[in-house]
Amino acid sequence: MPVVMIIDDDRDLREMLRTALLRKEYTVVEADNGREALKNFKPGLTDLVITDLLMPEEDGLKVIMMMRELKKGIRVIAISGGGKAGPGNYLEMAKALGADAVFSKPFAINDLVTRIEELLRIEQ
Amino acid sequence: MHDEYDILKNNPGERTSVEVRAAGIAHDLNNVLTVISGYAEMLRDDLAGNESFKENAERILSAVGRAKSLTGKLLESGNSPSENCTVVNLNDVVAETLGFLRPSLPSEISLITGFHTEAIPVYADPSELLRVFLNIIRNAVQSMGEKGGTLSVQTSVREDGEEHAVDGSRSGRCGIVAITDTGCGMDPLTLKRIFEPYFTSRYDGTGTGIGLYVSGEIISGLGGTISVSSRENEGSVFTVRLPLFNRG
Repeated sequence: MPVVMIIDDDRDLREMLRTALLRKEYTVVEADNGREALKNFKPGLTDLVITDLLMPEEDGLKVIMMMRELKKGIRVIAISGGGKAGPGNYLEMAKALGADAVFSKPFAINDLVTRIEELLRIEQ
Repeated sequence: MHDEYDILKNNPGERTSVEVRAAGIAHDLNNVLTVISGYAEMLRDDLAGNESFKENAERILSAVGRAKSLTGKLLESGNSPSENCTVVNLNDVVAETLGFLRPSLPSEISLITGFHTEAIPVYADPSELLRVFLNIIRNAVQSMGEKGGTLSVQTSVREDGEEHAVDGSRSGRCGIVAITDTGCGMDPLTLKRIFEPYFTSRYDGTGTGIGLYVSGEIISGLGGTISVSSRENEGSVFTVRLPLFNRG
């Protein structure tokens, strides 16, 4: 089954995403910040990345740029609870940097899973 | 007697502290709501055969929806940037502004420019930034009047950890535009009020008192600051700082 990497500094949220994806029989790997994700990222094994944007260490925008450099065509979904607060609309920036889909927290988990299925179908 | 005064527009530590705090809480609450709604959806799917249990799961999701609209309001209470924001090079916007103004600069004013050698990427609406720099530079030109003087426009980048010249903060990297004039300067009372709406020091009817107020709001909305340092009869320095767009 495809391998999905979840990057989020909120442990409960990672656990919920993992539970939902395991129910669909995806293989899941996790990282709690961008730096750890980039360190453990295996381009040959990872099919899709779900990344939070506002995180300590490296933020999600850098993760998107780096991972797309490390693996051309990697599917990326950005998630954020920051909305329009702060210096910019982070989800819009994520899209500009090449995220295939963006979700504003809280989102419907079934919508996220459906989008993952669509993106991985495109890849195959 | 010391006659130089500084004022800082949009020090996040004062004017927007409540907004920043509210946005931070909303961000964390959205994480919690995502967890609640995720499990509630899974429960609802698992309980498909039991209408009563399924209905309870739906009620949880409905409550999450209401909570989401509340966190959305908290987030929107902060400053939102323009819909036309994009990644722009601060050098380009400043050069474009000067291109507009150069033909109308009085010959008594000499212009000195200095640009950071590399691009300065910031996330902003270029037309709004242009408006800000036009406002500040026009004010600088007017402050020098008929006798003229020197107008200096410099761009630079402040690296991580360098001390903020005005508020002493050591926040992240930022792009800087410093506009210096050798005009009439401002007294402390004027300086204190220049970002207030409808405040003007030009009593001949040529000032509306809106330019700097709007400029301050635009820069605030982008997470930046404008600081002003002024000495009467010697001139002023307006410094605009904007967070750098992180290209990694």
